[in-house]
Amino acid sequence: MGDWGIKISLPGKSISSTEPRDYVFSSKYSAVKVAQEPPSKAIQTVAVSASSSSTVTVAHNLGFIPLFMVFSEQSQGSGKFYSGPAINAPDDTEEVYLAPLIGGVGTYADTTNIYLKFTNITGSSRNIRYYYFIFADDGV
Amino acid sequence: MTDYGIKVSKTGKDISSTDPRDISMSSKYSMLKHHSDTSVDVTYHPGDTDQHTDITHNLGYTPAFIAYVKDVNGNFRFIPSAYQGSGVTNYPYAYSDSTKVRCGYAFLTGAYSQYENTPSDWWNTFDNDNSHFSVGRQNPTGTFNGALRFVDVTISQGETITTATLYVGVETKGTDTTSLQFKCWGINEDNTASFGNPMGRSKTVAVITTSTSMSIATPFQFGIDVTSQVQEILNRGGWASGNAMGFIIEDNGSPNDCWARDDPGGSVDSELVITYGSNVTLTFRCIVFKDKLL
Repeated sequence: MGDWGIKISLPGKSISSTEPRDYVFSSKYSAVKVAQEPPSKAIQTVAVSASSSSTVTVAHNLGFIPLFMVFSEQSQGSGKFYSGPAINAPDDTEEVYLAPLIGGVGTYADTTNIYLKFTNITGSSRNIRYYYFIFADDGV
Repeated sequence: MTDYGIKVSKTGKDISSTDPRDISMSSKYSMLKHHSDTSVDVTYHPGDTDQHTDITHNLGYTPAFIAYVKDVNGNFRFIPSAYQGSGVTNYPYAYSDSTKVRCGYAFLTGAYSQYENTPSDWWNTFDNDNSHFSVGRQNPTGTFNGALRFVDVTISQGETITTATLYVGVETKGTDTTSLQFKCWGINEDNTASFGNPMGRSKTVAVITTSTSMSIATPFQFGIDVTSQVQEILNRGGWASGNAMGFIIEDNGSPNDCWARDDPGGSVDSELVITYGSNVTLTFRCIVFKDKLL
């Protein structure tokens, strides 16, 4: 008996199925592990001044570059959350965007922190809400 | 013993390892919890600037999600696949809110399967030069006519046109505000050249005889249906994508001092807008997690 582990099938699916999509969990397949979310799992807010950028630094101290996801609004109070650096939908307004990594500056992770760069293209200060998941899995 | 829980190490890794990457699963780390996954087809029609689908999640809060779009080549691309300032003119998008995840594809400029451009050349017989376009009647000169040319018409030879509209910009007009009477032909050439008096060039068989009200205050545009004219030009054996096409407009009995004029770079431009081709269907796939953002 060489196949040791834990597996849980979906309702109505056989535990002996060979289709991985029939499982809620199987120790045969590594799961993406959430190492860190914002404190108290609360939505975060960053104030970005008019026509400028603000970088949020979040320490993870994992000792390796992790996989991470960040969701953020593009207009203050819109309630519409985009994944990563994105372009706003036509029914939304572009006020503050999450900047991609270009020339070593932008949104990225290293072995100690994740860096979230928000850029405000309006003439007024904007408060933008965001949320992140940092995973205990290699991002590179 | 204070560290209770369940953990499963990866094959070949020590269960007592402190490196979380050695662990397949551990109750010390939560996992994103699957709520739903949905695939939806969205059809785009020539001229569409945005189409989207809303995937209702019924969670009562804003959830985390992952979205993909299958492009026309059959490749799945993570959304976002473009970022602000990347220079794209069209892009997929996705966002979640408290009731839904919206996935769509939008055009920042132009539209799907649509050509849109302003003139490269103007002509008028009032002054017999390329300083502007005008058409109508003004005594004692009498009637005068004009032409417009558009370049880089990136539509293939023989392509089926859905609609083609020539919008004439009117920055100045005559004092008569009744009805401008005119006829409009296409210039029946494979690749009509820059204007030095184009009025004698061959005309399409297709012609539209119509009128438009001059009661609107300037600046404004009026549209001319040139679908048949454009189709006739595109059907020419010598037509090639990227060529230039033009239109001749002649007065057809307008009242005295009823005329319209478009100057290059004015407050409103003339435009040629052509929609062509067939519908396309994109497939969006969205995985919604139970994990709450807001």
